[in-house]
Amino acid sequence: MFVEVKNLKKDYGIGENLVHVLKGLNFQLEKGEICTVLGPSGAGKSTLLNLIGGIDTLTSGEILINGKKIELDDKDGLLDYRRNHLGFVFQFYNLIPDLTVKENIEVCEYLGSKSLNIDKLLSDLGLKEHQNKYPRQLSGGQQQRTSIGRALIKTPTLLLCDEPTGALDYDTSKEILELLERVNHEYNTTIVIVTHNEAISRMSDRVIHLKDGRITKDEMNKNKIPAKELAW
Amino acid sequence: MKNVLRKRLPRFLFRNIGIYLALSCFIILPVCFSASYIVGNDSTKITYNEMVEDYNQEDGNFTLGIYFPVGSLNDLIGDDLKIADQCYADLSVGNGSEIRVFKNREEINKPIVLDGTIPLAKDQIALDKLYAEAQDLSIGDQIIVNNEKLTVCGIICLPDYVVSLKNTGDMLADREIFGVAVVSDEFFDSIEPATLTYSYAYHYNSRLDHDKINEKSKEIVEALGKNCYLMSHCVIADNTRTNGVTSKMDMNINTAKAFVIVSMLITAFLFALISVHTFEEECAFVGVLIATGYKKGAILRHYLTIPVLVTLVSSGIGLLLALTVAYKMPVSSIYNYDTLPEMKLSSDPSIFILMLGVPLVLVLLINMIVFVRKLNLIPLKLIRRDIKKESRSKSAHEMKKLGFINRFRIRTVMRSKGQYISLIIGVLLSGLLIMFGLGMRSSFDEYIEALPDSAIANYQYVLKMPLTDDTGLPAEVEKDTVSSYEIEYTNRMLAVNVLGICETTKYLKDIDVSKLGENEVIISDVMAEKLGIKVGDEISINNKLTLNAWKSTVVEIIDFKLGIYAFTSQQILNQQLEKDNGYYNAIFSDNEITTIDDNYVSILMTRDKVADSARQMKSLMASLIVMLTLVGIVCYVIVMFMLTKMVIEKNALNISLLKVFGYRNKEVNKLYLSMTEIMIIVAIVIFLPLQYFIMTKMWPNMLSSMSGFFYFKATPLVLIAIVLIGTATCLITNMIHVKHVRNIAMTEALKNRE
Repeated sequence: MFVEVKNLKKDYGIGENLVHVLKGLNFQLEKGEICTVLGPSGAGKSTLLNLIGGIDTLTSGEILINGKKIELDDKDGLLDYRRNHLGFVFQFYNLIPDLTVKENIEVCEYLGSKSLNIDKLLSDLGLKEHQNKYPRQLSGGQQQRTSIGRALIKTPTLLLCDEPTGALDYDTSKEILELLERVNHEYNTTIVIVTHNEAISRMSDRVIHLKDGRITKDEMNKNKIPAKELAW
Repeated sequence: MKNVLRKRLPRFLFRNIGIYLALSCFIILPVCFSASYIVGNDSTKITYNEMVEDYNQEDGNFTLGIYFPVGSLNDLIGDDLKIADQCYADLSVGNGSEIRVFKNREEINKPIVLDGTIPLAKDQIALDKLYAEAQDLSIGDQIIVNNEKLTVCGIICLPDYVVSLKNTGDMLADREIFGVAVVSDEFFDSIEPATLTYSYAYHYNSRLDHDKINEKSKEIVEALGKNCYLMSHCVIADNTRTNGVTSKMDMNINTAKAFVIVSMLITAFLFALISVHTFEEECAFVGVLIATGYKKGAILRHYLTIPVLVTLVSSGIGLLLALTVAYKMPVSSIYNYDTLPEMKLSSDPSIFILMLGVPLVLVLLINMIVFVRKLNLIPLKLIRRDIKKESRSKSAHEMKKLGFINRFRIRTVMRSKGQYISLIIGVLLSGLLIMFGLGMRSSFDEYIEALPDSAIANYQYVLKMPLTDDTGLPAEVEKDTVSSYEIEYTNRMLAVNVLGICETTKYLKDIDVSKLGENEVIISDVMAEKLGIKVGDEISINNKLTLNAWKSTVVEIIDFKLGIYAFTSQQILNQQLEKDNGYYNAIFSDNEITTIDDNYVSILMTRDKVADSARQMKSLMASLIVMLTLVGIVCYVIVMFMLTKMVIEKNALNISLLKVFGYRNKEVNKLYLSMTEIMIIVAIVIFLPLQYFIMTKMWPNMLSSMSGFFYFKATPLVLIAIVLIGTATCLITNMIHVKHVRNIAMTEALKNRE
């Protein structure tokens, strides 16, 4: 198993304000799978993603990536994990305003030991002609493509996407989803997409339904369709 | 591969150029100002000390009633010192002034030739530099001295006449009416002997400590007093022609150091603020960088680069300006009054440490504290911009009685409280600098104005020796005893005048010394303030001539602004000095006494002259006063501009939203700018007492190198000026920001998707 989540719990707050956000999750992902995590707001989708990404502390349970446990206390191990295996795509892009499109991607190229060819990646992302523009000069879709490029350049084995189309229109959202699908095919990257858009789950191999911090359904998608055929 | 993050540094700097330029000015100005004062004064001090060594400045001098050959004087006072004949004559000059001429000095107090030569022919004369300048004379010009036409062959300075006072008791050197010069032996020998004053200088063969010098001085005075008609004796430490030179410089250096400390505090504070602001703006992508695998050390280095570069470059520019141009200003204010050899600029390595190292370490430290703490947050908090503790204070919406506008304003202040607190502290410190400058000026003015009133009588004579016949003295004069003592103060000896008041005193009736015991004294409030003495304290003072130590208890502190004075009865002081009961050496009178021979008078002080020294000191510090005030104003502008800009930038999204909702620019200004305006003006006013308090506490340290003391006084006019300067600065900055607010587009709110 590439990703193993065992009895994962996460609480926020203390005393009267204690909230159990994740109440003991268990699931596994195979290498190269696209997994969609669905659920209403407040279900704990983003929390789950943040815990897998090692950017938040878990209350109890375990997360294993390729057999290795993620521990926030193991700073070197965590750094190696983030640096060499993980890619993050956020709903709000978080690009560096003073760097151009190409430079924003180079920020992560600098970290990776087996980086992709940046010019090819820019072409693949449809950003070649925008490579010298600053984030403020781009549309939302172009900014999101840049942030995906930033995540992909160092060829991560696991790509975590938090509402990657949440701020985008229909056409741009589809473009982004097709891009993710292509990445999955070409690099055999395991992709976890957190979304509340049920239609997206149709392009994935596995669908996990979350509600109130628990998995209500964990199923393989037997009728997977290409991203370009998605409609909502 | 190079870290691509570096590419953003110049762009980030350019994007925030206004803030960093302001900050840069904030470093350049105080560094340049302080370094120029420290380097200028230090270099002048070194030049003076080199002159003392290289040109054999005297260790003391004495004047005799008749001529004695040097050899016979050595027989009397020992051969552990070298004595040189420095007889002089005060001659009238054709232009109405008076000139004191000496022969060339070969061994002690050797003249420093600044231009031209020492006189070689009978018709040549070398003039003191400042006298030549005041009389508009240069080499080759002719001058009538003692009815003889002489040609100026050289411009010189004399180590014993740095300040060319005619009498050591004079308060002010006026080169329009008096100067010094060296003439040829031939010319000097032609002067009528009756006009000569038989002055001698001496120099110890080995360096002596303070106590040894006092001991030796006592021997010299005793030996010459018995055998040689001693008229006067003065050790170099008491020689007013030289002893004020370095203390003025020390005062300037101390002030500059205090100034740089205050300024660097402000700078560090501003840097902390900018760093917090930058981090708050960028924490989301910092979180992304960490989540992506960037090491915290690399991010920290990235964020430290600009502050470090700005600090280093700015302090470097400040120091460079100080070492190349600005040092001339403090130096010229010294050279306008003191005749000294040409200054060689010498910068002690400590100035580089102080001016480059201290700001750098401070900025590094401040930024490290800000960033390390924030970088230790988990990346998720950074990405979500969740980096602040939630405020649990009473919410503005609970204060319903205040109305919407006020509640909104309070909410805005609470949201940017870091910036507002900094703004308030910046206002406090900038105002402090202005109070420092303007207050120094008004303190001098008050002191100068009050001094003549504090003079004991219209005419105060201090005698070199008792009058052989005092029957000619008018009946109304008061005859007291005064003696010079020393007290230890900050690792050096400070002169204390002890006044023994006669029983029938008419001028010092307010000081009741009749009940004082042998070991009890009353002291002036100036002395108490300067030395931190309270009633009941025991003080130990040493007499400079008898070398006797006198331990006494302070029983009263009285209002007496003339200087560092202790009071006792004449009878007790005479006993301490081992003198007879009828001894006196100070005469006070409301009318000029014409019956005293000038040769007996050591110091003659009139009410007018009393204020001259303070006036002189004020003119020497004029450039410092102006600089402090200017830098204070610049600080006001920078602090107000920068911090208000930060508040607006922080609230740009909200301002944009308000505009989308239909708020007019005027209404937006009312919500954001008016509050800042009110806070600044209120802060300016309510900080006045605190600033005054801080200044009065810092003031004694500023004056530590000065032998006297006067209180810090900020007149109502100064206080009004501070409020007006602050308010005007605030209104002008706000006008600029009104434009800034107008330029915030409504699309800002729509573009921002968070």
